[in-house]
Amino acid sequence: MTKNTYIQIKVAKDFGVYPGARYRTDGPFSGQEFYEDILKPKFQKAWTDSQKIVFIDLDGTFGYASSFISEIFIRLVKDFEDKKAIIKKLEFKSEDEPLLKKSIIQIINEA
Amino acid sequence: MDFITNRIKYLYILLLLILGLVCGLFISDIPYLTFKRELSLGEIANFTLTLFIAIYIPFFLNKKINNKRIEKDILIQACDKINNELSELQKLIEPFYVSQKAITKDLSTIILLRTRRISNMLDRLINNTTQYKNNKAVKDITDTLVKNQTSYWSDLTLNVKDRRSKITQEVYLRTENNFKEYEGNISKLIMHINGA
Repeated sequence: MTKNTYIQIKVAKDFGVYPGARYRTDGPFSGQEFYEDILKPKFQKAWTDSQKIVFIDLDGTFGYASSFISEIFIRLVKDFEDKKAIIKKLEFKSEDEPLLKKSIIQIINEA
Repeated sequence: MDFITNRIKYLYILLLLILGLVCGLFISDIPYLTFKRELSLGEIANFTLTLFIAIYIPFFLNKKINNKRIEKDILIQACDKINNELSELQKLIEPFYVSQKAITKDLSTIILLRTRRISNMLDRLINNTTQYKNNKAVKDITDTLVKNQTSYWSDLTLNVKDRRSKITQEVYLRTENNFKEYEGNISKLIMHINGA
């Protein structure tokens, strides 16, 4: 059996502790910025390598606006289409708010 | 403290036993009362059953009932706390809806932290209802509550981080509807926990 390798993203460290709104035009630290500059390039690598999984650590921020989260994961579904495969390629750490993981999965499924 | 309580309990039992013996001796001297020297199996069974009930009800059954009541009360208190927190959050945004003032960075952060707090209170509540996992009604309501939480968070925080964002009538009404639905399902959960 082969072991999965993780591509890690820690939002608070790699991006910022005050995640912002939906679009870059709404201000800094937007969902669009996070998706285009951080998540998409890393997810692309994981998408083409069956052993790689993107691990997103959501802890350590001052909370997430739904616009930020929905922009990221709706764009992910738009670009990579296969919802089930996307969910399989993602893992989350959210000890600050455990139910956020369920909300993200719901957003992906409803996108 | 437990040691003293136990001592008092045993002392009480001993006292009752002595009282019973004294009563027995006293009654045996009364000439109008006579005692049969033989006992039937039915009488022994009757006596054993009475003794069992007399010990089981106060010492075990009452304790079991009390413990279950305490567990239920703790869960109901947790439900009430979520309802209070939801009400407080609604009260916080109401002045911004009425005045149509722009949401400040501090207020948007407070809204995010408070929705997160409600989410975590709900998560803890769901984790504490695992003893009702076979109760379909409780399971259905907790699943709905997770959806209520996502909708509430989704509608309330949709624009809070936008530039010069306001609590518009649309956002306020959607949030108010989510709040009512959320609160209603919390009340349903209280009723099911109470009746379980």
